[in-house]
Amino acid sequence: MTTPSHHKRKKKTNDVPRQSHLDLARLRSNAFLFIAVVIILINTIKSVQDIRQTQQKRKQIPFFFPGYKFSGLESIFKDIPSIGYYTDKDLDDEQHAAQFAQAQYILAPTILDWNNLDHDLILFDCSNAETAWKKIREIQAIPLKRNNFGIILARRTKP
Amino acid sequence: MILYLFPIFISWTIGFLIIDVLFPRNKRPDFYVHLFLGLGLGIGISSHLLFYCFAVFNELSKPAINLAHLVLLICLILIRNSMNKKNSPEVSRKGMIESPQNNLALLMIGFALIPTIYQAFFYPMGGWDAWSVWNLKARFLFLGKTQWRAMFDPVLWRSSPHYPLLLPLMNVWGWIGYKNPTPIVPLWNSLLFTFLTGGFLFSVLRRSVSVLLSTAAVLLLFTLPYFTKLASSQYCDIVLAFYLLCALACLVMAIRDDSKQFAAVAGISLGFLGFTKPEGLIAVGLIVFSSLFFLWNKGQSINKQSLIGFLLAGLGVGLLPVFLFQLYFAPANQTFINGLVSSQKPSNPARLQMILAFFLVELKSTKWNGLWITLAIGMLLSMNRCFHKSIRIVPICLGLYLLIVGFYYYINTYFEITWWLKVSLSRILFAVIPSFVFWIFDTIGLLDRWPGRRE
Repeated sequence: MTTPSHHKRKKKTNDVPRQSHLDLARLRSNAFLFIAVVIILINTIKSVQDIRQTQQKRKQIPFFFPGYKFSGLESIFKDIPSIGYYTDKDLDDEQHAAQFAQAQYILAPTILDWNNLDHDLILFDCSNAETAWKKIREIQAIPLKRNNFGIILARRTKP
Repeated sequence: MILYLFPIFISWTIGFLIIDVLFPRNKRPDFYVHLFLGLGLGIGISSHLLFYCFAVFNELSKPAINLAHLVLLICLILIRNSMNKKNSPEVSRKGMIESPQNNLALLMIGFALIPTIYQAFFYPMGGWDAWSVWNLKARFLFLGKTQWRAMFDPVLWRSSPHYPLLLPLMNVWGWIGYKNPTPIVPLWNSLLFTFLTGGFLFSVLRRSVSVLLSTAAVLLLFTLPYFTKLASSQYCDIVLAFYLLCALACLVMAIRDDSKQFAAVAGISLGFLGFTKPEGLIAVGLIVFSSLFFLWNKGQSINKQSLIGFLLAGLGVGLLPVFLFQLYFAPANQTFINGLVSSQKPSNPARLQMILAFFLVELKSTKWNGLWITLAIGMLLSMNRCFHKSIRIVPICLGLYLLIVGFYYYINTYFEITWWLKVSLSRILFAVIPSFVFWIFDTIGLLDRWPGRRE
């Protein structure tokens, strides 16, 4: 049979490790919070530096989306499901691939069929005007429109 | 701005009411969980409604879309009102709203979104995949009339025609009040999902962790420059990150609270997750099998069958558009070569070695500013608590997900592996970060709750 004092003693001995566990747990939790706060502070400094650097760059060279070179043509392609897109540029090159993808974005829902010259309407995006004119003559197409960025729209005369 | 906010408000109301209808009045989630979960669910449901309208009318029918939203809204209000009459009185959740600590923390989180806003406006057209994949699809849906299916044309193989449509449909929903597909809507959507991810992470952590730890968890993400860049790039990865977090957190809440309602919400979130990206669908398969296993072996639960039933019911609702899309719309993946059977491009040990090396290089990369190391320290400090049975499902699902993604990198030999890992692995890791942060910070919270107990 246990006496009340025995109960008291037993409870006390159980409480000691529990309290130490609790303290240790809080210590670990606070240590993690401290590390997280340090990382947040470092991140904040880097974020501010990053934003300032980009702001400086934007002051020198304003943002330009190369796909805008093709804007204005979408009204011509209204209800035309797909057109040809001829380029002598290497699409493995990231910059040229980006321009092609952006052209597709601006002119969607018309599909740009890359280097397929069988379409009635063909868009010529060449590295120089001479290459474009040479190809237009070769496929016996008639130039319809040329914009300020050297993009030429031509229509095939023969099927 | 108002033209964008109006459809978002409609979605939020729908999501908020769905939670009201699902949960009995005395079991409704905390106010902030309700708020953020409601918005996430609502936007997902709006995208589903748009998908059904496209499937039925074969074009963007604004009257049908608006009518579908109106009918759903009225139905939800009627069901809610009739349920409120029958149900027990509502338990006040004012404590959480009025808690100055929580409000201050959310204000700080909102303030911490400033770097992401800056990043978003530095690149208003988003990153490469924004104009090449997601926003391109959205333009096809918005402008294509009855020719919207042209976006599945094999000619557009560079734009991954087989990718699901959740984000493009969300963007179309944002454009619903506009005449033209203005680029500002995808930008707002990326910011909205970033805030939603942070807000939801805060509110679910707040259930078990101190306000300081919950806020630190979100600030750790929102102050990381690489996270802000990817979050604001208008990619689908932030949407995937949100629904992955949503599904895992709701599963944890379902297991802890024995809540079939949270199991249902987890199921719906999994459905949205499967409609984000192909890897989202992989994650759905993994999480469903893991959660069925966990829920079935939930020894002390008296209603484990109803938990599973609600999870599967939610999943059925959420996955229906995914099945329809895969069955009737999605073209075959043109960028896949099975390296295990291909003699021209076989998977070899060097490829596997490269994948493993890249994983390690990526995790210790300086662009993460020590985030992964911090999480690893958290794991060590939590000792065995990070595999506590109430949260075990999170690391198991995340671990299996990364393993399967690694396996996919190995067997699909279409792309040159170094280039592929370089452009995509960081985004795979980005999408799992909020769930990893939830896991580690919640585990640290467990330290305070069950000191010295071995479970």
